[in-house]
Amino acid sequence: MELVFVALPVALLVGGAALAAFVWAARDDQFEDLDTPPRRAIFDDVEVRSGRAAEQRGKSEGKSLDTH
Amino acid sequence: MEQPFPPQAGAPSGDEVFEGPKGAGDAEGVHAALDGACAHCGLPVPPVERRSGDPLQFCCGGCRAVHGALHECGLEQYYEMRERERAIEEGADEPALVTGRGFEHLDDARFIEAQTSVDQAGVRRVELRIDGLRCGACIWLLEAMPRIVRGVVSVRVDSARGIVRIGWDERAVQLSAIARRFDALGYQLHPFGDPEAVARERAANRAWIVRMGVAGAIASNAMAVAFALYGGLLSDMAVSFRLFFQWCSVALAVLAVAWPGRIFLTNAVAALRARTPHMDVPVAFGLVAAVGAGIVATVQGTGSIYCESAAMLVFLLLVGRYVQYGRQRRAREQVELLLAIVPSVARKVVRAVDGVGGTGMDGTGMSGEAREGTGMSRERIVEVAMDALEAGDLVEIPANEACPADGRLVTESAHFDLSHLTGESQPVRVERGGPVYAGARVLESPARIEVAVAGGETRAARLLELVREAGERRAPIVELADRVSAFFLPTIVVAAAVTIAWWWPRVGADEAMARAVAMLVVTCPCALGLATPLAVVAGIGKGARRGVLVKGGDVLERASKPGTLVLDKTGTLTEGRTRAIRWTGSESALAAAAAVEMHSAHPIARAVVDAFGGRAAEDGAASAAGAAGAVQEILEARDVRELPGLGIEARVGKRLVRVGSARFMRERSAIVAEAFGAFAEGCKVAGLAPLFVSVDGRVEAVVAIGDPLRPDARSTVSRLRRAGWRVVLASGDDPVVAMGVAKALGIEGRDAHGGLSPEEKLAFVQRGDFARPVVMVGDGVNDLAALAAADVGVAVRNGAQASHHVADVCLAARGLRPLERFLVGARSTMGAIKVNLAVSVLYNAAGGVLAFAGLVNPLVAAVLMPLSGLTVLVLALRLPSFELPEMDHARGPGRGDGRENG
Repeated sequence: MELVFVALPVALLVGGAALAAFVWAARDDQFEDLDTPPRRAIFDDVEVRSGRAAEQRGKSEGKSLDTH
Repeated sequence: MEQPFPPQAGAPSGDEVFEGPKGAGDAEGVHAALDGACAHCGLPVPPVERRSGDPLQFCCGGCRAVHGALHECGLEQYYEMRERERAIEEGADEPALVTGRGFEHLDDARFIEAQTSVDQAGVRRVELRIDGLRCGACIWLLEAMPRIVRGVVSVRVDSARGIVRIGWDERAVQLSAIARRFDALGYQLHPFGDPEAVARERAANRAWIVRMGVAGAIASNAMAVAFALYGGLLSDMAVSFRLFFQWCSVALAVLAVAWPGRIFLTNAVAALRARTPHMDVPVAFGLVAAVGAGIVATVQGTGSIYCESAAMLVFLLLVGRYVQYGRQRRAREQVELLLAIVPSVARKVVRAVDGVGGTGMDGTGMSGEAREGTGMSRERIVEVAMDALEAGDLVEIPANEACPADGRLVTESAHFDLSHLTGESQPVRVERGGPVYAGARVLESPARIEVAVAGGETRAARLLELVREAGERRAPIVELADRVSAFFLPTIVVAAAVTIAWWWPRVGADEAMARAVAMLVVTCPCALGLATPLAVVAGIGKGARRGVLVKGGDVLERASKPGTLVLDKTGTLTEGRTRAIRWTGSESALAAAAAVEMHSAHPIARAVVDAFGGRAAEDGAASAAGAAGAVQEILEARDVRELPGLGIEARVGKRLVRVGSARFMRERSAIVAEAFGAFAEGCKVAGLAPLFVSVDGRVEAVVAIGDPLRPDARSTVSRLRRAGWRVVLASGDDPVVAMGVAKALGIEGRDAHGGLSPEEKLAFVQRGDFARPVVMVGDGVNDLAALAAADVGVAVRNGAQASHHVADVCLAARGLRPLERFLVGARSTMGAIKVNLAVSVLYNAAGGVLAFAGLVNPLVAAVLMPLSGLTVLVLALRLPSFELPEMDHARGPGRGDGRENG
C-alpha cells in the first residue's frame, strides 16, 4: 500500500510530461489552424506525380529542383 | 398575346434553373465543358463567352487564364484534386478572378521592412492574406508553388483564416513576381493592415488554449485523487494515506486556481476596483473559499476538502469563456477580412513633367505604363497602396473593379454597383462630378475619380468600424449554466458547513464529517457542468448535419424564444440575382434582344442574355441540322450603341433593335401596343422593372426584370408567424419593391422597410420596440453591422464571405427552410438543456438531503456521482432535434413563388 506514496507522484509526473508536451504544441501554434493539415496529408501522395513538370522545368533551366 | 417560352430557358420557378448547371458540374467537372459548363469552375458558359469549335469552354477570362496557367505549369492534377474535394464539401463552383495587377507595393522597402523577416538560412518570410481559396485543392495548388516558381522556398496555407505564409529567396525572385504568379492562378495576396495586432491576437489565443488544457489536465488528476480519497474514507484508510491524498488534492487545486484560474481572480479584482458587478466575483470567491477551506482542513488534519470541485470548476468555466473569446476574436478578424471589399492598391494617375519620376511613392511603384495625356503633360499610371492616397489625387478604376477611395467622378457618367455598400441590387448611375464611394464597383467602362477621402475615413471603412464595434459591444449573455454554477460552490460549502455544525453535537465529529464529505461528493458539479455543454454539443452536431452551422451554445439559448425576425430581401428572401421573371411578345424579338444585350455588361443585359440567349441557339439546333452556327450568325448584332440610363440599340441583320426603358421607347417614339403597356403596368405593381424590346420602331416584346423570390419564402414566413415570430422586412432596395415583396409574403405594410442604408439597418436592429430576441437574417456586406449587432445574426450561404464570419449561425443550404430548422432546433436544444439542468439540480438537491440525513455514505456518493453524469449524457444525446415538425410536401416547384402568382 505504501507504493502509493511513489505511484501517485510518478503518475502526476507522467501527466505533467504530457501537459508540458501539450503546452509546447500550443505555443508552437499547432492549434492555430485545425483545417489545413488534415488535407495536406491527403495531398502528399499526389505530389510525387506532379514532379514531372518540375523536372522538365529544372532541365530547361539547368537547375536542380529536387529539394521538396 | 402572351407567348412565354417553355420554362427551361428562364422560368422563375427557381430550383431547376440553379440546380441544373450545378448538378452537371458536380457530376462531370473536368469534362463538363462538353455540355456547356466552364472547364475551370463548372459554371454555365454565357453565350457571349462561347467560342465555337473549342473543346474547352470558359465562363470568363479569369477562368480561361487560370486554366492556361495550370496546364503550363503541369498542375492539371488540380482538377483531379478538386473532384475529390467536391465529394467532401461544396464551394468550388466559383469563377476565378485574375486581376493582372502588378503588386509592386509588395516590393516597397517600407513594407519589406515592417512585415517580413529573414531567418538564418537567408530566407525572407512574410505572412499575407489570401483571397480566392475555395477548397482543399487550392491548398495543394498553392503549396506546390515552390516547385514551379524559382526562388520560392516554402508556401504554407492556413485555410481556416485565409492566410498564406511565404518564404522566398530575395536574390532569386521578388515578392511582387510571386504575387503575380498567385494572381495568374486566381488568388490575390493582400498585406495585413496591422501585423502586430494579428500577432497579439494569436498570442492571446495561444494563452487561452494553454490555460484550458492545463486546467483540464489538473481537473482530471484532481478527480482521480478524489476518488481514492473518498473511497478510502469508508474502508478505514490509514491517516497517513488520507493526509497524503488530501495534500495532493490541495496542491492540484492550488495549482489550478493559481495558474489557469488566475484570470478569474484578476478579473474579479479589476471588477471590484471599478465597482462594476461581474460574474467573476462570485466565481473567484467560490474558488478561493474552496481552496482556502481545503488548506485549513488539511493543515488541521480535520474535516474534508472540496478541492477537486474547485479544479473541475476552473476547467468548465474556462471552456465556456474560451467559446466567448473565440467569438470576439472573430469579430475583430472580420474587419481585416472585410478590407478585401476595398482594393488595397489604387491606380493613381500622375501628371509627370517630361522624364522626371513624378510625385508618386518614392519611385517605388513606377511600373505603370506611360501614356500620352490629353494635354501637354504626360500621364503615368502608378500603383500605390490605398492608404498612400491623398485628397485631390486622381485615380483610375478599371472596368468591373472596385473604387479605392471616396471621391468625385471626373470622367463621363457611369454605372456603379453599390450592392456591397447599400444593398441596392440595381446599379446606380453617377453623373460626372457625382459622389463615388470606396468599394463601389464601376460597370461597363473604366472611370476616373478625384479622391476626397481615403483610408480609414471612407464610408466603407467607417462601416467596418461599426461592424467591429457592434460585434464587441454586444452584451455577452450570462448563460444559464454560468448563472447556476456561480452560486454552486458557495452553496455547497455552506451546506457542508451547516451539516457539520448541525450534526457535530448530535452524532459526534466522525459521523458529522462523513456526512459532510458525502454531501460534497454527491453534489459534485460534474452533472451540472456537463448538462449544458453536452446538450449544446449534441444540438450543434445535429444542426451541422442538417446544414445549420451554429457557432455557440448561447446562440441556441438566445434563439429559443420567439421574438422578432428581421429579414433582408436581397439574397435571403430572393435569389439575389437579377433575372427575367416573365415576358410577353414574339420569340424572334426576344432572341434579337439577347443578341444585342450580349454586348453589355449591365446586370439587366446579363439577365436578358441568360433568359433568351441560350434559347436562340437551341432554336437553331432544332430547326435544321447544322443550323446552330447559322442562327448565331444571323443574330449577330452590329453598330451597338449603349445609352446609359436608357437602354441599348443595335442592328441585328437588317432590323434595328432597341432594348430599354419606357422613357427610351418614348424618346425614340416607338409604337407601343396597348397589350404591352398594360403588361408593363402589371410588372410595376408587382415590383418588377419592365424592359421594352422594339424592332424597327415597334415594340414587339416586354420583359419583366426582377429578383425572384425563393420558392419556399412565402410558406416559411407564414409558418414562422404562426409560431409567434414577428417577421419584419428590412431591405436596402427601393421601398416600393420592398413593399411588393412584403405583400407577396403576407407581411403587413408597417413591417416592411425599404431603402435602408447599412447604418439605418444597424439602428433598426437595435430599436427598442422589437420583442427580443432580434434575429437578423442577411447575407450582404451591407447587412454586416446589423448581423453583428442583432441578438442572433444568421447568414445565408452564397452571401458575402464576410457575413459568414460575423454571423452566429450559417445556413449551408439555400432558402428559408434551413432558417426555420435552426429556430426549431434552438428551441428543442434549449429544452434539452433545461431538462438536463433540472435533472442535475434535482439529483444534487436530493443527494444533498440524503447525505445530510446520513442515508448516503461517501462511497455510495462516489458511485452515484458518475451515474448522474451518465443520465445527463443520455438525455442530451437523445433530445435535441433539428427536424421540422411537419413538411408540406404538396408544395409544387413554382407554387411557393408568391410574386409569380401576383
